[in-house]
Amino acid sequence: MTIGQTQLSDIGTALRSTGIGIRLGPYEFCLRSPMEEIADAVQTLHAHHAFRPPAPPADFTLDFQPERRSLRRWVICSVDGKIWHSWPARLTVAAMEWITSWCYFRSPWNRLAIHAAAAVHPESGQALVFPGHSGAGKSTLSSTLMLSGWTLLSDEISLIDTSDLTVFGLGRPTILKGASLDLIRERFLDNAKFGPAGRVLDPPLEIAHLQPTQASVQASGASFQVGAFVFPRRSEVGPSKPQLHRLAAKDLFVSISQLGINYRQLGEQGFRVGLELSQTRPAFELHYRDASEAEAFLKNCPELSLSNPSLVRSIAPATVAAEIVSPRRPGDEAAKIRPASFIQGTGIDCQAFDAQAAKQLPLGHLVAHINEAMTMPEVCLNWNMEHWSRVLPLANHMELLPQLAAGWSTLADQDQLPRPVRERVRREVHLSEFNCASLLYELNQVRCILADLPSPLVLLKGCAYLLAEQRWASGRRTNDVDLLIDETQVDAAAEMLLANDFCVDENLSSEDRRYYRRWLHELPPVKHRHRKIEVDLHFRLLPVSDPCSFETSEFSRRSVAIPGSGYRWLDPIDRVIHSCINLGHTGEFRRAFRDLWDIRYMIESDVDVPFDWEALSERSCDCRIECTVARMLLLGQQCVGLDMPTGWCKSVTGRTAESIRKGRLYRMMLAAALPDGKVYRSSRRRAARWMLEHYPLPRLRTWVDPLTWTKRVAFIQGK
Amino acid sequence: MSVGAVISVIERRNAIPTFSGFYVTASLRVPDALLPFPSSLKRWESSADLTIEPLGDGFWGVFHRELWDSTVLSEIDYALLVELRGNGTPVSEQDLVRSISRTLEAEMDVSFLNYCHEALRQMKFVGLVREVTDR
Repeated sequence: MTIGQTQLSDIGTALRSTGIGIRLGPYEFCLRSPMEEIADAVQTLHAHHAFRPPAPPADFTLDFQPERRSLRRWVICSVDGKIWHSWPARLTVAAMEWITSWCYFRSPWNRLAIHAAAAVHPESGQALVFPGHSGAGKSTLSSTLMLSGWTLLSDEISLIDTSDLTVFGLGRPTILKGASLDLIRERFLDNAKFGPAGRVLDPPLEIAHLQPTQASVQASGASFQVGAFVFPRRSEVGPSKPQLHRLAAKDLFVSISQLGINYRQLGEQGFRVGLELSQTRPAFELHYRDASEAEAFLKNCPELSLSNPSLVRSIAPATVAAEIVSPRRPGDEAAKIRPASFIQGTGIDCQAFDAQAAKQLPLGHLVAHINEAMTMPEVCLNWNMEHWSRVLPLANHMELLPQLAAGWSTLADQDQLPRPVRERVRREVHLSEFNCASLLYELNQVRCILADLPSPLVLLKGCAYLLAEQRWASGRRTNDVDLLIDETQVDAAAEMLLANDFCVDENLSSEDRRYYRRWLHELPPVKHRHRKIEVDLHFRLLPVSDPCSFETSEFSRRSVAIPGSGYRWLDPIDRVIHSCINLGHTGEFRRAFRDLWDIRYMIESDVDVPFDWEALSERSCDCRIECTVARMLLLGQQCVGLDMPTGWCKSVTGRTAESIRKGRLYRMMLAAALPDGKVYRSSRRRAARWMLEHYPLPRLRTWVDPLTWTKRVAFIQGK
Repeated sequence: MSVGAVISVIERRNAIPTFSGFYVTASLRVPDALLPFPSSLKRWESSADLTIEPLGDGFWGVFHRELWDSTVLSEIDYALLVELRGNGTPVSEQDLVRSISRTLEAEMDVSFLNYCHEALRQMKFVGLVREVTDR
């Protein structure tokens, strides 16, 4: 039975419970939502797809949840457990399509996603690819082609297989807005079936989605040889008859590299694909006034209709273009199986899984299994598909999936992993390689720029672990370069970066910049104008406005050189202190588990040199941050099984571990760290995270301190 | 060879995700005004790990293996890059421009000097070459 033949109430029930599985091109999507708008849209727009539960584990799990903000309705969209974006509810259906597009744009590691429409030429049977930015006329042209009998492969994304340069059929709806929508409605009347309409405000336009034809849905997952690239150039003052102009190979190459959204992420594979396509496929500019005229012209154009017969093939079952390049292994020596205490005594048995049990397993148990896989990747070999389909989104939400994937990719018997899981592991490993390669390059560039700075360049967090080749951090990703610079040198460092193509966000006013320098712990982030890498120059570890803030000259002095890099990183004790205060004072608790694992590994990974707990006590007390450090270590003990000496908390803070755990702040941190509820954001967890991110309790002291107010007034007055 | 009012074809892809998750694109142009000839203290070198492939019609595609990014070079850009890579050591801009004008049989006029200066600046911008300043 197809989705179009199913009752709306049944679709709604399925979306609220197990979800609906839809195969769009080579990927399996799982759609979930309690929203009626989504059920309505799925029934109309995916009418020709089979009504079925998702095949576990789905490549992408999309979830849409309603939320009220200031009395207005919003839709919260998440991909694999991570919130990607939120939109006003009037854009719910559009959001469903945007989020699907995002999956194609950012995730494939062996397919090039070009911002282009594609359709099968009725004469040649080969695909014509229509690249162009938003507003180029792709959607109107592709809708016209589809409703005139062509098989439309895609409207805004052409997914090209890097192994054979074929383009996939995706069987997705076409997004239309404003005049294009009116035109298609007017011209094709009842033949054009639209989903629920929405509206965008700037500019004010109606937006709706056109249902794909049955032929287009049937082509979903099949792939077609690319016959030619045709760049749509629609203009009201264009030629009276459509005209085709040939483009040079280099123009096609430039367009592929610019419109290939994941082009850079594919690395040399993307470069080779761009090169081969531009040298073997003809490219044209199509100048036209009207889409229907263009359709008739394209159908009869000898340059496009006399290509070789198409090679249609179904999806290869398990073939991939490249082998996994194994990253460094996590430190085996540190792999002690020590379950986190919040699930202790529950008798978890990873060997005994069945599908039903996996479906009902509470989140706490899933977290325990993820923890176990962090130290023993091979435990995953016992997991069944149902379990994988719950573990992968949760691990992704906790930001542990890249590290887990790095471990799984080194398993000797990884062939035993289910095929979709192997694909996912390859994708994660590839993304981590890209992250690693570009960061190492950027670190080298920044080092050259700051070579003359007298202050040592102390790397913090992710980049430091990467450069110091910490085995436990393999696969861990980071988005920016965090540097600790001597407070007297930090402005000079910023000047050097600004003189070398880095720039500050132009939306920041001079007051904002002054605010950063006066009250925070870092300068406004600077980004490279071309490469977009962000560099954060820290002069402290905690914001000046934080009552616990302290000078960091001792931290810099104690820092340790990273051999052969020109950089330094904090000494082992200071690394733990920094991780603790970073999470406890300024952290993002969604990924608390990742940071807590960092702390555990930093303390336990070096078996030759036992961690100096006495030094940690002394330094924490010197900086007056002993309570935060104790809280974070206890959280690490409870969540990831960190081994702490008995009585350490009592000796440092004067309070027992039990007493700290009963405290309101600790309980709030635990609630914020532990995934809970639908899409891992129960109202309790959201409230806890909001409190910690916006109004951390320790900072209340700052608000009631008259001295702080005196300083604020002076700051506002520019003194 | 005459370069006339050339435009450097080093294209860039700005990784700026916009509202709907797409990217925007910008390209660089050679300014019309005469650029100041660089200080003699500045020299250039290129030690980047690159893959260079011909695209036809006097253009080359370059893949930067460390940065995972690619660019398109015209004949003059390519000559500058090859000359720098062939040298192995930093070369002053004057020597470099003089050398490639001989290779390409191009006239050392203002537009040629401007083009080379801007091409080197843009190649630095995308990480193909590095500026070395004597101290």
